[in-house]
Amino acid sequence: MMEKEEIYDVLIVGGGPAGMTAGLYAGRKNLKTILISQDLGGQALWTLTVENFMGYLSISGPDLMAKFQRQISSSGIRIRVPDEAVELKKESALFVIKTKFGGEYRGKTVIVATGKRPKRLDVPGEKELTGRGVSYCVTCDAPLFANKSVAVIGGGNSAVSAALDLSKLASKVYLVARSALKADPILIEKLGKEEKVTVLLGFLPKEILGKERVVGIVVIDQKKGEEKEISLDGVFVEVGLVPNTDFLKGLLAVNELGEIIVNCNCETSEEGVFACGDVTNVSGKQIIIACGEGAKAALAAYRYLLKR
Amino acid sequence: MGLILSQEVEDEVREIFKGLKEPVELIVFTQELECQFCRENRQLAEELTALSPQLKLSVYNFLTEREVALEYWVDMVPAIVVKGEKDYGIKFYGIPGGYEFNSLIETIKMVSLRDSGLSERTRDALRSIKKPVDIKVFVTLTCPYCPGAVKLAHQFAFESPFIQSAMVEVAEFPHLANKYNVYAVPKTVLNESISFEGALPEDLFLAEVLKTQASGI
Repeated sequence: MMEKEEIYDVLIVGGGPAGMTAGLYAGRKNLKTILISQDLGGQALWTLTVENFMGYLSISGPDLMAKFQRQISSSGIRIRVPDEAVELKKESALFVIKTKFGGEYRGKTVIVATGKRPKRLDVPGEKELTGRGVSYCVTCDAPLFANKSVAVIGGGNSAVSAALDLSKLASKVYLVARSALKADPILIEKLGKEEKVTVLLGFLPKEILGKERVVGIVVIDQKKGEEKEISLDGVFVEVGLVPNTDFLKGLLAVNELGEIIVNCNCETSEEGVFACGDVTNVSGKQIIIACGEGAKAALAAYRYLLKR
Repeated sequence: MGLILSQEVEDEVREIFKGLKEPVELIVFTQELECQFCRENRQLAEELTALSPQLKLSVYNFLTEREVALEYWVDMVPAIVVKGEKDYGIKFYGIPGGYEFNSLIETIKMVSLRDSGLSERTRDALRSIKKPVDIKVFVTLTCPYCPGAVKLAHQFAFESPFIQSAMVEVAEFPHLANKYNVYAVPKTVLNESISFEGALPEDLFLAEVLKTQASGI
């Protein structure tokens, strides 16, 4: 394959605000670049309103990301979407990335901008029933559960918002939280007014039931130690986020949260590999910060290539 | 400013439509007593066609003008067929609002440029298709991954006379969501037999489409 022999200056993994900004900067430095990602926009695609990105008083996440896409589409870099890195390894002086859909790309440097993804529950039935009633995207899949019975797992802002959104469509919504709700008081207050929502506090999910599709869930009442089975059509998992670093297989140093450790120039523990955005230990998981970090990572890669 | 499109969206679309090259016909199917979505769907098509001299609108009554519906293989409403110098089998069932508005604009652009934008390799492979392929892409209007899947399906339909593609908005056709077990979107169904969730890249989607050419599918 010709593709496998091609050598890029920069392999960018991830296409959220950090990855796209890195792509733009790399393109403007005339670096031969490929950006590999599931989508262009990342987590920002799920953000309804952005009111803290300078230059825009208020804009939806998807609209802002559409503008980003337009800006990088003319930057001269190659874009491989949708795809996903599954392995990064070093072969002599080059880095090699293998992708989910069979691609293999070689480059002199790598910029990791893979962001975070929803955390799984790790209970039986979850994996098998994903896309069969188990969902991690309320905005996408809520309309499929009109007049059906669903559960939301989690107790933070995203879980409570999900329960509120679903209560407009579903016939019944259970909110299953292991301890007290951590959501903002204003959301909890709204939740209290929703008749369709039943909050199960102090309950842990044990198993998701069903073969072809979700038919129920088993939860454990932590106080009583009793199990309870609830009939359901859908389970929405909203228990937080984890960094997308599986494909690195330990190549880079990470902190206790699994985030890639970078210095102030976005350098990682591996020379030639840079990282930016929510996947790193940089504090403040914000679009504007991710963009700044993306720019820094591309410029750092450029300087590194000049010195080589 | 129309009832559906805001001034800002109209301005943006008008700008995009400046790049249109050849005429495109939007064929809308509705019914006499318009359901809410039928009305909005027709209204959307009317407002869009007003934004470019290259666009033409035709509206048909699904119930009383059955022969036209049959000609375009339209079997439910609301529907929009996007036609160029011929019918490519490209359809939108349900109002292409939300994220799917982009799918409609992209499709109009593609048909007007008379270029699917697919790679040479894919085009070559699609020339080998000799048996009909029916592609349904189930979407919700709030799913950011869906337009990618819809666009690809329509590109394939544009390229091959044997391929038909339809976007199906599940909120408007819940019985189909049940029939096809749609629990996540985008969900693509090929010839009622092959189905998968999620948006695929062009080469992988091609591989799925080619599977339909095996005997018996």
